[in-house]
Amino acid sequence: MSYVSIEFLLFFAAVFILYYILPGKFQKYILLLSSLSFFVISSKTGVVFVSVTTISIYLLGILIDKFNCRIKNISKELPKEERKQLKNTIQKKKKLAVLSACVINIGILLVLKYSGLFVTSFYNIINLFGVGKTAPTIKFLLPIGISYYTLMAISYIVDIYRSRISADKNFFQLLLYLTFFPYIVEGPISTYSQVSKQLFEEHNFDKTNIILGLQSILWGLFKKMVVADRAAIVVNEIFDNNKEYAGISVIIAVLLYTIQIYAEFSGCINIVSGISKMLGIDLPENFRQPFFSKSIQEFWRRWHITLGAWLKEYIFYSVSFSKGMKSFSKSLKKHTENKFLQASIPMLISMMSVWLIMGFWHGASWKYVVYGLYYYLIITLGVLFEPIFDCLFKKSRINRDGKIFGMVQILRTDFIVTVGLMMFRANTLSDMFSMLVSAIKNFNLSIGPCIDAGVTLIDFGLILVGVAIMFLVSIIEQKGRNISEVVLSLSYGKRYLIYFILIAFILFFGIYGPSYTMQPFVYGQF
Amino acid sequence: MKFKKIFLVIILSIALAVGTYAVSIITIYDGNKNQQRIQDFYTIPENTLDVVFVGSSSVHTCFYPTLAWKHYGFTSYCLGMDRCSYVTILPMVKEAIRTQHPKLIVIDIDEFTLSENYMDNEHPILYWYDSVPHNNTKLDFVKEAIPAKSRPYYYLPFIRTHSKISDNNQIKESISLFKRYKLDNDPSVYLKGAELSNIIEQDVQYLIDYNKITERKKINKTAEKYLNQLIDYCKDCDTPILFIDYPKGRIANDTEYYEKVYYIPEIQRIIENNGLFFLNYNTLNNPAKITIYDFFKPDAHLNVYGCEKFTTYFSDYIVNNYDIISSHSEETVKQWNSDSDFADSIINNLKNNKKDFVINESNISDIMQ
Repeated sequence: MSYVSIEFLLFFAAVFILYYILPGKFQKYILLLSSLSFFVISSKTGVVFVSVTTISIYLLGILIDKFNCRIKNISKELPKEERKQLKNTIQKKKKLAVLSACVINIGILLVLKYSGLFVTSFYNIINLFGVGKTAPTIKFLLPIGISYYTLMAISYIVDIYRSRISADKNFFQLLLYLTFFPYIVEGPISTYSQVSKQLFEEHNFDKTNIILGLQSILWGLFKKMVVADRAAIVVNEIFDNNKEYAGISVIIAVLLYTIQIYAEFSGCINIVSGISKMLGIDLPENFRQPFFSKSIQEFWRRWHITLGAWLKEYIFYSVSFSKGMKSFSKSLKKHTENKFLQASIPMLISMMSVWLIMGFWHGASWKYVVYGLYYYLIITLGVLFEPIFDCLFKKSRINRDGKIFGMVQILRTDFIVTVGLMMFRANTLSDMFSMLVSAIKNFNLSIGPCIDAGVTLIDFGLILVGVAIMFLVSIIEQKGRNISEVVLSLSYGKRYLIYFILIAFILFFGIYGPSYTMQPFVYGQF
Repeated sequence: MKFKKIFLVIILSIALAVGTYAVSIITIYDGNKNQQRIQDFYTIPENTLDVVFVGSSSVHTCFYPTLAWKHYGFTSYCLGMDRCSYVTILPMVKEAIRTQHPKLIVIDIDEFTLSENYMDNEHPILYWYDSVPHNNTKLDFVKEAIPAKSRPYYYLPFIRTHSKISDNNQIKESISLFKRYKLDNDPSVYLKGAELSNIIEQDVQYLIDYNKITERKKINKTAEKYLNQLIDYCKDCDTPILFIDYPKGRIANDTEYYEKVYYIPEIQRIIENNGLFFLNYNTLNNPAKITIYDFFKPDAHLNVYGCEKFTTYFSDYIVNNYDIISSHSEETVKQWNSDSDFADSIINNLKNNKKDFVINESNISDIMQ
């Protein structure tokens, strides 16, 4: 069930009415029932897998919690050595428990999502040695949001392990945390501490929350239906038939894809945040004007923020502070006295794991691994050449804090991101390279083929208007003002005029109905 | 203050509703020739047609109403659609009776050989639906034939037609058609639904001897259901109804048509068992004396030469077997005389043109240049 459908509208209307009509103590049960219904409608048998995940983290969470208590309660009267030994023993058991939870849940994800890729790759390798066998087709029906709830399950169990939170003794609350219908499809990836209190507590009907929620939904629908899905028509045509296009058409398609994915993903997050807001629940922020970033690192702190935060918290720190990395750092210090290398190399190694996992998380294709490594390579080069750049800038007396330099940095970052997204969208890596070649080698300025790719000049105009509005909103937010609150603070007349203009745009220019093919959410497929 | 707020919301809502409605009634007009043929039908003054031909593409390629008017004195209209769906036949017949009270309705049976999944080819259904004025027949049709999940965009056509706003050519075409059908008082209809072509297909194996067809297929359950509904309606109807299988050429390698012939005997049996008349023009008896060569175009239908031949024969059959000749008002006679003169010049131009042409009401200007 898509968030942009009449079915979902009716579904949410029913949930919303029940949520506020019934006594507050039932609210979390309504959310649980509606989330499970949403899950079953969208994923049918997939509910079995989310149940296995919940059961595993529920039981192991309680076990780890008990170990935490036992560590806390180790009597101080015991001799120090004995205390240490006891703590180590419990710590080992704790590690085993957290490892078991990770193995179970990552195992399910690997089998369901990646087994086909592994098997095909294995056969490709053995065929290099002349075996000549065809790989069997392995394809499982993926439960909805498996990539999202698996990360949330791991964050839950690791947070208990790190004693940041206590295990939830209520199985159904935990099930609700993993399956909450607004974020199950495309995130944001929320940690237990961020949302649990809000999910389980009672909420009163708050008019401001409703208005803010509706505003957010309207904004999300505009981005998805007017901008993203319109851009997708050209993008799909040119990327899927890339051999027929060259020059500026390819470049336009690549730029449109960047617009499409941003408008769509951030639009979806606006919709789900709006839905949650109407239920009195604030979800974590997932986008913060990413195209105003001056570096790739900054971009990933502003784009899909919750994934970046998860990777930093549960991969980067875990690898960086692992025993292996500590001993590697020590040995590095013995072999080199260069402080820059002593600090950079362990960091780059930890980062490699982050980017590999980031790429791999996106899909069962090696192109996503390359996509992750592409950013890793850019960041690594940036880190390694930083001293040289510093030197060059000092000598050339370029003001690195100046506005012009800042603009250049933003454009450079956006260019790198756009190339990365080209790789992300292309059907294969070889498609991407052939598109790059045809864009440069057969360069021409004819936009005719783009217009023939299923849209009209008016459509291009609408995309430009949409992008201009999105840009304006980003500038306001970049200045530290929240656009929802800005709109809310306007006079009644102006505010309603904005609402009606947005509604009119969606009604008249939205991509919906049988004349159009509505695009599924790109990140909903992960 | 509260009153002002409510007033503002009401005003903006009305503006939005009016805008949506305006776009809806304009964008519903489509440049498609099939849709125009139905829209043209509704511009013909009520109760002025003696015969209405209903059905698929055979209807408008086999009969030429102004020729029948000139030589036999009856008025008629070809209410046909390419690949017409069997679900729209009954409502088309009902609409023909409601608006024209004709003295005879001729129904083509070709569409009953089409597949069970009629929504797979939804265009003819939409062309018909969008062209018909709002009335109970239309509403009953949606309830009867359209699956629940598709009904919203039948009741609210804006859902599917709003896409035209962002296409300059489509919106221009819709506005021009809206102007023609809704604002101009006298939209001329010269060919009365006919579609004629000067293309000649030589590679035709005409006429199938049904007696030699050993394989007979039953039409699918859904088509049979709609055929039976139509038959039940026709049996109770005061207007005489005639079922027909128009002459078709069998082009070599045209497997679709070859498949279709297996269903015809079964359709004929159902119709005749219910006491209704069925005329089959695809037998070796060749009652219309259509010779193989020169009379067909590449899509298995008659070309302008075959159409003239068949119109003469079939008009003769109609006037001899049905009481359809009646006096028309002076205004109607004048209009038909003038239209048939112009249609003659169209046909002459078509015949004398060396280029291949398929001419219908929507592209007359192409041949008259």
